Amino acid sequence: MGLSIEPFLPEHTEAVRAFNRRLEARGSTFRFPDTPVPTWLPPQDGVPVYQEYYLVRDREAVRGGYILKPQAFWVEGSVRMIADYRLPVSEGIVDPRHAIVGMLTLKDALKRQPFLFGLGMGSPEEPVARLLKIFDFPIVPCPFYFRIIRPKRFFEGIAFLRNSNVKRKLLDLFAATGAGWVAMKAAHRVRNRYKQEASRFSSSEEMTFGPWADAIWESAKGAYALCAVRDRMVLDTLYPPEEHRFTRLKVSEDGMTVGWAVVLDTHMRNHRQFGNLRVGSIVDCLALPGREAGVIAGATHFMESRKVDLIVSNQLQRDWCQGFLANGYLSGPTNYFFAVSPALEKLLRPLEETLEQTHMTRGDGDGPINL
Amino acid sequence: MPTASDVTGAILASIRESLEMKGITEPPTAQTPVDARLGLDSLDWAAIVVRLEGVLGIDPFEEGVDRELKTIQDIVGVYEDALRRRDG
Repeated sequence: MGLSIEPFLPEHTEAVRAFNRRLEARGSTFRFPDTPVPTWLPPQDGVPVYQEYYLVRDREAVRGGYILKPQAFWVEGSVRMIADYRLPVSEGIVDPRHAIVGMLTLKDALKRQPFLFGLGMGSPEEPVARLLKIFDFPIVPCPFYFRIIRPKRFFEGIAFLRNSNVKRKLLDLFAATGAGWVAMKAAHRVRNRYKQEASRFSSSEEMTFGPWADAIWESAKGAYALCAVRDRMVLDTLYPPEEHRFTRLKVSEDGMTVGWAVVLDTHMRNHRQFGNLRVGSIVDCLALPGREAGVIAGATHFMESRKVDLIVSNQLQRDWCQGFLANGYLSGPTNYFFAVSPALEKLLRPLEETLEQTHMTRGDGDGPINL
Repeated sequence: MPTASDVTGAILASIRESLEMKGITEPPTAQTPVDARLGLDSLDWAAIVVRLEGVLGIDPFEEGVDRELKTIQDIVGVYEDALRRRDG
């Protein structure tokens, strides 16, 4: 007998749990979901975004698995299903006898959906990114933008920068003397070219995405080469009303709806990068063409009023990137990478141009985890 | 059309290439076990399979693997089976 790849069925549950136990026993922190029906985005009739779990089986044992997340995307002028390749887990990471399993998961995913992408890798050197690179996936960074709202708290709490005694002392000095406050306010103000216009934009919290979201989607989609369908049904699936951590903001300009943003306000606890800071994140957004900076201004104003310590976002599409800079955000090192399969890359040629019109946010891929 | 010895040679050459990149100079043979002793990880195997697809023009892992892989000879067998399937 050899290895076969099959959908995760209820009768495989115990074998998946045994697989997870073997990973844990050998020191791996990876786990594969141990229920066959995904808790996040299970398949539902008529909803064009869902997850499927696949297992690599060796007789009765499970040796690995991966998640395929098919989703309707606007691709170069029409809607088609493409898929995100998520959470490949292989027993090969703890037992070299199963080293071939990781590759099998990717081959199987490509066979089921050649128009495949990966999103959210922390670096091109991560094992998954290296595997995708071997299979000729181009890998590009999704730029990271941040704006410090409360400099004193930021300098006292930013774990990522406070990684040596010297840096800690310097940052404490910045916080204590107000030098950091002055420097950060100056940096944001110099870059905030949008301050005048920003006052025209206001935001309102919404419980669900209404018909206005469909109108925004219909008007906006043509501006993108690649963008997940962001109509009302998809958005209410990704950001359901019962998920209270999501804040849905409808942004208006002089009373007219021009876009929306989904934001999080998270009080971090011992976070690797953010320590115990209160982090606002703009995880997803869409705007009428030309109103991207306005939507960012509306979302930023809302997060400022919530008194977060800083606001962060990852973006790829050019107008959104420029919009963040125009709103006084600074660009920092990113840990969010996007990879496209060779078949998808062919659809998007020339990739270096279409990437500028590719809308990818933290709301895509794995969803807003770690935020 | 590649012969059985072409297949064995191509697989050994590709494995050797990956081993050399890791500084392992001991040449593998068809009887070498494909476990921790060989010194290749999952990314090395992925690179080997992609290289072999270029050399031999087949992807034997498309439908999973229908035999146990204990030695390099077992991998040779997987490729030979795939060639037989392709060429009828």
